Amino acid sequence: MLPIAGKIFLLILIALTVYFFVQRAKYLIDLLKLGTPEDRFDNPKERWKYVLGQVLPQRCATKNVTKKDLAGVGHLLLFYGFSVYVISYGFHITEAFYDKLSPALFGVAFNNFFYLLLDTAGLVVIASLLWAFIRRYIVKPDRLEPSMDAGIILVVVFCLMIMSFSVEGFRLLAEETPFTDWAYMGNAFSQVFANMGLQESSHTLFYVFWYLHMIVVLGFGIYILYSKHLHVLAAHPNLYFHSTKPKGSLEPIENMEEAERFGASDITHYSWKHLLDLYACTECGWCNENCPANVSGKPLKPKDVIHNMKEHLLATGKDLLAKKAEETQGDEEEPTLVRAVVTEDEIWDCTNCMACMEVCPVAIEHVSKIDEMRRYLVLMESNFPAEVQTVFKGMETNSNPWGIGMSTRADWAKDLGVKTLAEDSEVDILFYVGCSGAFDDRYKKVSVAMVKILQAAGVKFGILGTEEGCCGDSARRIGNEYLYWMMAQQNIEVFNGYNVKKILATCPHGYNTLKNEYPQFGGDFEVVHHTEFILDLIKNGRLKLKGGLAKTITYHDSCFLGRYNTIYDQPREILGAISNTNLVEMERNRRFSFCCGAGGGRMWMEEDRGDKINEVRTEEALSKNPDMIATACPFCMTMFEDGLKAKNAEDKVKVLDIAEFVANQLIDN
Amino acid sequence: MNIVVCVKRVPDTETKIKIGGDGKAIDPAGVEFVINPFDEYAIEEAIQIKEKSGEGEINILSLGSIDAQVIMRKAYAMGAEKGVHLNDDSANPDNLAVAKSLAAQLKEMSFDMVLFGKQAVDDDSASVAVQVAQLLNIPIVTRVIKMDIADGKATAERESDAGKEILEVTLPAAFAAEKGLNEPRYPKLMDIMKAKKKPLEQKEAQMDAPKMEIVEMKYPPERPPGKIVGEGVEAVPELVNLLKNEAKMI
Ligand code: SF4
Ligand code: SF4
Repeated sequence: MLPIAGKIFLLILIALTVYFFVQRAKYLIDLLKLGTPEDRFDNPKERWKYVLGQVLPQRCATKNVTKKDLAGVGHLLLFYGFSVYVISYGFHITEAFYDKLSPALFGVAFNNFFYLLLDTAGLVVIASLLWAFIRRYIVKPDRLEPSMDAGIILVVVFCLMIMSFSVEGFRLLAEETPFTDWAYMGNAFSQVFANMGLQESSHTLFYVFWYLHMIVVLGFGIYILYSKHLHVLAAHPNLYFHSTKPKGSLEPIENMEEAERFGASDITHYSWKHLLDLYACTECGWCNENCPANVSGKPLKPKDVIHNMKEHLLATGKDLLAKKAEETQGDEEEPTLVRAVVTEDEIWDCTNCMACMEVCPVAIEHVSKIDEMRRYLVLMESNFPAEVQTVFKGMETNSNPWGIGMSTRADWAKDLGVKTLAEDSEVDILFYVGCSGAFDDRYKKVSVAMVKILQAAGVKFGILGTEEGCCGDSARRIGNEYLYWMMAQQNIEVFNGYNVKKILATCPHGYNTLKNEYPQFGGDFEVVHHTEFILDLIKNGRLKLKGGLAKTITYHDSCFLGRYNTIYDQPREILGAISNTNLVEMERNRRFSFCCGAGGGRMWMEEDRGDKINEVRTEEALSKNPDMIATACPFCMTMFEDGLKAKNAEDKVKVLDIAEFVANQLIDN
Repeated sequence: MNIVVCVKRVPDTETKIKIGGDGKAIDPAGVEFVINPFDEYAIEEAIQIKEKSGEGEINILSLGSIDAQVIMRKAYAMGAEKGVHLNDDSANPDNLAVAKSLAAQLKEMSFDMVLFGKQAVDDDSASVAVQVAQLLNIPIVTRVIKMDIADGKATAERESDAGKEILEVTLPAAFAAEKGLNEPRYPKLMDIMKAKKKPLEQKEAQMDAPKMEIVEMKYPPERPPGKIVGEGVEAVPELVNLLKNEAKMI
């Protein structure tokens, strides 16, 4: 227990800390309240499960551990090491006022164990700090920028650990503390101090160091709120309030007829959860690592978008709060976020590939942030890359991005003996062909392959023919929610008109939006992707396949199939089933797959900044010397075929859809 | 500056046209209809002129079936304020009758300029604009690719097959827009929503009895299929031979 003056001093320190902490925390929370409302309070059980599942085993950080990047393990060590210390500081403070609350209270074994744990934790923390220091300032991987903030924290925590050991050492030297035999670091420090002849002054030095380290601890508590280490506090609520909607799905615009504003042009147009995201960012840079825009040298870097938005919020927060108080908060003439903080180039660079969200340890939602700004640009300013206008118009008049005459939508199926639902609606499954499947010369062959497979397996299916419309995904991802909404409505009406229950889609973009986004408009159908469907047919023995295709094949994961819908295994299993295929994986595969460059409506835009994403990916594929590249998405297919042409490899390497591999292997009976 | 823009609802250029059972009209089933693309240049130009001068009104005038109102709303979304729909289901092919009906309506409206597309892409007759100007006794510049308005006068650049002509006309005048005059805008959503509420006056069109009749419609002759002569350098002599002797192009 501390002497009375000491207690008062400590109380003052604590009071000051609480004061500054609460002040800042209140400010930060007030800023969150500037955001629009959003309900993220449903399903508390699930949410708790998710946070604990992420934090306790440190899934958040370790999920990204690869052979090349072990930083997640470092974070786990630091997290647990430091957590032990946080508990010990609790003991320190209570002990200062009330002796009975020392760890010794819990008995011999506990005290010994506690010190053993504490000392070990201290060593672990020091080791992970050194590791972090070496990585940041010596190894310097791309994703980490050596920031001032990070440096300060590393040094402060390092000093704190040394101080903590010193406190322990002086204490053991000054007084008989029972049950501390296992405090090996404390004992070692005490030995060193004794050798230095500090036995006499140990009592005083204990107090000096004790107060010093308490000041650092309390100061650290405040500093956290001012630095990137805000994530220590914000990450947990952010994980709790994570999106429980289908991965990467975009929210509809409520009440489009009456709304006065569409999308986001100012920071306050985002929901409080989007703002909380900003606090939670750890600046780990994982999101940048696999971002096709960043990797291909374009202006967009997801980490910078998040960081700049955070800085902007903190910098303008006081003004915004004042405006809110005076009720003068209105929409500015010129947007304060779009262009001013996030440039148009950054906004248009995004392929919506979700590589950033997949690896973000704290569940930040980058894609919807960017797409909200696109909505603003498209719907409010009618401002988008010029080439997109014909795409919108094509979708409007002919329900396909090329604007090809709608009446030719079913021409690909003319001689295949396929019936439309208008001719026969008694089917088990509707084959939703999609625009590429209906109009793109190359991808029409995939539709034909799909039909062959369905017919070979005796599936009772139909198509919609000219009644089918564009799924609208590209329009939505480019930001034209109105156009998307019209197309979704139209399709849902047609599906319902035929009482459709189950839909098969080949294009992952159609698949994703039909399955995960159409329910927003009352379209509830069971939607399967052809890779799922074909695998089932194979497993159920409904397809007779030759097998024995001796080719080296590499499979490219489409973002909207993989990351959006966790379909990673099915296409690989199909390739495995048709042959003694030599399946080689590209460096970046599955969750870490690298986008082909065509998602997020980028398929329809010129790529005039940086390298061509499809060529970057094609090079990666070519480095594995495949005979064939397997895809399961029309956009990926186009991007690879263009990439191969650019690399003069189109004669050597063929791009085939999974459906084509299977159709080619069918045994005709 | 008050501007009236005359617009026509036409089949989308990508639509595969089918001739109807009677052989005298197209079969509208499965046909997508749009604003005549040349009229879009006219609408855009009207909006730009209004934006520049900062005053005046843009009126849309369209003659046709009730469906014409759909494309009028699109013109509203781009920026026009109001309009008149002359309802006519007769599909009268006589352009003079159409022009007379439009001119009669225009006489009731106040305008400094009447804008048209240079032709409608359905019948490609390119005659209505000229006839209307004649009936109103105002000058017309056709195939306009550039316009400047100052002091009650318009300087218009028109494209002709021989080159360019620059003309100065005193307003009121009529103009028929050519491709290249501007880039028609894509409307903002707010404007699409507002367009639904803008006033649209519907009147029965006063049409003269047609002095023209469609006797028969025919498809263009089918293009003979392309020929692949060969590949690479070896194919060149044969290609040159065919171009010279068969196609008679060189
Ligand atoms: S979605 Fe893809 S392209 Fe967009 S920011 Fe994230 S990683 Fe980059
Ligand atoms: S957004 Fe997520 S992944 Fe990117 S730097 Fe921040 S915490 Fe890391």
